[in-house]
Amino acid sequence: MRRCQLSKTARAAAISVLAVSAAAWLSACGGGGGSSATPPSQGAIPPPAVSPPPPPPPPPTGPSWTSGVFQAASTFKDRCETVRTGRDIEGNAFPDRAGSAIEERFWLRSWTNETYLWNTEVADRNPADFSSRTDYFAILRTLARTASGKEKDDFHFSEPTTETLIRRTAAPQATYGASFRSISASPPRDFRVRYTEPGSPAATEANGQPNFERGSRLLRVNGIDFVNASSQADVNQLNAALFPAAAGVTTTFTVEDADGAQRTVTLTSVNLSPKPVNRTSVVNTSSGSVGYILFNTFSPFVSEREIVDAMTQMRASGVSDLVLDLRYNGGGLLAVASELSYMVAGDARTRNQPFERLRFNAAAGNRNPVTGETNNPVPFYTTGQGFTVTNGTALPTLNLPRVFVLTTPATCSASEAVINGLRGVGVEVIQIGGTTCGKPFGFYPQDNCGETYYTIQFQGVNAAGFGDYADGFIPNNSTASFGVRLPGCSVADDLSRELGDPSEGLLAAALSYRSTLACPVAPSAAEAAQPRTDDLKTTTRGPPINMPQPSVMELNRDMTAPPGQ
Amino acid sequence: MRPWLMLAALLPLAACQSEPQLATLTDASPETIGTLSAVLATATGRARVQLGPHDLTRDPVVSVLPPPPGPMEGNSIAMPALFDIVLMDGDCYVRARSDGALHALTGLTCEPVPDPA
Repeated sequence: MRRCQLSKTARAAAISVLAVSAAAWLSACGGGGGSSATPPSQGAIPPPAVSPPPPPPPPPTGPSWTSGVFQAASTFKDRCETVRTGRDIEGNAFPDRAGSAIEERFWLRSWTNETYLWNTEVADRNPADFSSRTDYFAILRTLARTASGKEKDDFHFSEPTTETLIRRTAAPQATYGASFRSISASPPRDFRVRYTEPGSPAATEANGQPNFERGSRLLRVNGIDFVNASSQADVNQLNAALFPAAAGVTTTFTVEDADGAQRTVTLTSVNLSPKPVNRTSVVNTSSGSVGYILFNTFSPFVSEREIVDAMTQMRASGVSDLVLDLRYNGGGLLAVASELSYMVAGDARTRNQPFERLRFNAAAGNRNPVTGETNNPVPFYTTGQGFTVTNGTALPTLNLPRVFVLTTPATCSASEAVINGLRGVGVEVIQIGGTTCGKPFGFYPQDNCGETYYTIQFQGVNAAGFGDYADGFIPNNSTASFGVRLPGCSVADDLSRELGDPSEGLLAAALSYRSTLACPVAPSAAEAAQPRTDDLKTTTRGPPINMPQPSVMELNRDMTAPPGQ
Repeated sequence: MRPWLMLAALLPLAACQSEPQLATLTDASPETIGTLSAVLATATGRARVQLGPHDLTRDPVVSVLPPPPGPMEGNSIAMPALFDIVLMDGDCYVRARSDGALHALTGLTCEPVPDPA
């Protein structure tokens, strides 16, 4: 809808400019109106009638397009059709100046040419041929595909800047403290609890049992049949109850636990920021202690404090192996990913090595085309960087030659950077679970005139020069045809056991592989058991439950919702 | 930083040539942190800033947190901006690690960090 409005506005502006220009031209030439500055004198012979000359083209109303010729993006930056005045919700003054819709589109064209990673694969189309900035932005990307056939750039996206700012300045969100997996959003619906936040209403115990357990399936919500409700009114009530808009919303749930038992629990929503490190444990085995860390996001600044504390605990426990559970971690701060990788690998393996180099488009050379600064690699940070650990604080290290990483398709971005960065310095990464999302790319979100644009600008490359995992990382015995194979086992996410339980499918497979170097489950069976949630969500058997966009804290992934959400 | 602010910050320096010395604040009261934050907000061109974790009565480095990554930023290269607190001719400043620019902490007091040697 917004695009249509913008389009009409743009057209209206263009028409009014043309009308004014035409009127001005007529006025200046004194023609067309039947009057004259010097009327013919009486008795004079009028000149013979002649055909009027064709009108000249209207004067230029904006920049003109020449294929392959680009003005600097700065020429058009903040020159807006609609000028914002005052300050944004963060208190910063708007930078807008009076401009036009066509200038906004020319900015997009030049900015893409300067900063887009695959800028040479973008067809140079005339901005004047498009009616809105978002329509034009949509075509400013490569149409190439990866080896598996998926779009090479399926991360192209824009949104109103107000929405960007509201989300990033949002206070903790109202929640019961449960993260759900939508196996089917339409009837017969199937929502299961993936995990709960420590200390949340969902995790609070009643009669010795948490209100929600991993794998609990929703059956009824406030008396409404969650599985089969088909009226829009019921679905609206389900959405409002499941994803409360504010703290203090009390909802009654009937759930079926993984063991088949049914319970009814009543929860009241609270404002809560999810914990990046959800839980840790140490599994004692005959061949040494194995550390386990469930790390759900690199995004909030507190992730630095929490992962450093977790690694300090692992070091104090003397673990000889580590299982990093990144199955629901969609990424976030690369600096924290670097710190985590350093703490795993230790000083000797990482000394003088980059954690990740950022590869920009070829024209950028050794310059970051977005910031204009020298393109220095992201190092393995050996000290806290000042997010929530005091800058310069030495980080603990485990000095491990290998690490087990638990994955699903929701394992994305900075999580994959950990896998790739560690492999780049020779740490063996053993992958247990499913194919990762395949996003070695990143961007700098850029506002212009009230729209924030996300266009891929860099690819992360490890110390060995590798970064081509757009089809994800896959365990070696996976039946998948594409992806970068790592040692390990393909195993389906196991909702029947609590995360961190040594008998939970992925963790059990990691512990077993550690002992035997064998995978416990046939990959074909495992992959068959992995629900194709995206497919199911698109069924049309009834109104779907609208899973809200994951919060910053819950799931941080670029542009597209991860599979399985 | 705006040119006139930069000029204002540097004017007192024109009359003295002493080397800036790393320093810590003499107190970390909410009022002091508020003043420091306002200076750092101006220095970073933002309306408001959030500071990293520091005991600035013991630590001469202050970090200004970047805007939080948005939900779409899975590979965010956001980093805190670092400033050193320095003392020069009896006046306190913060000095940006990025470009060395000095910003006066008018009204705040600080004391030099003892030389570890």
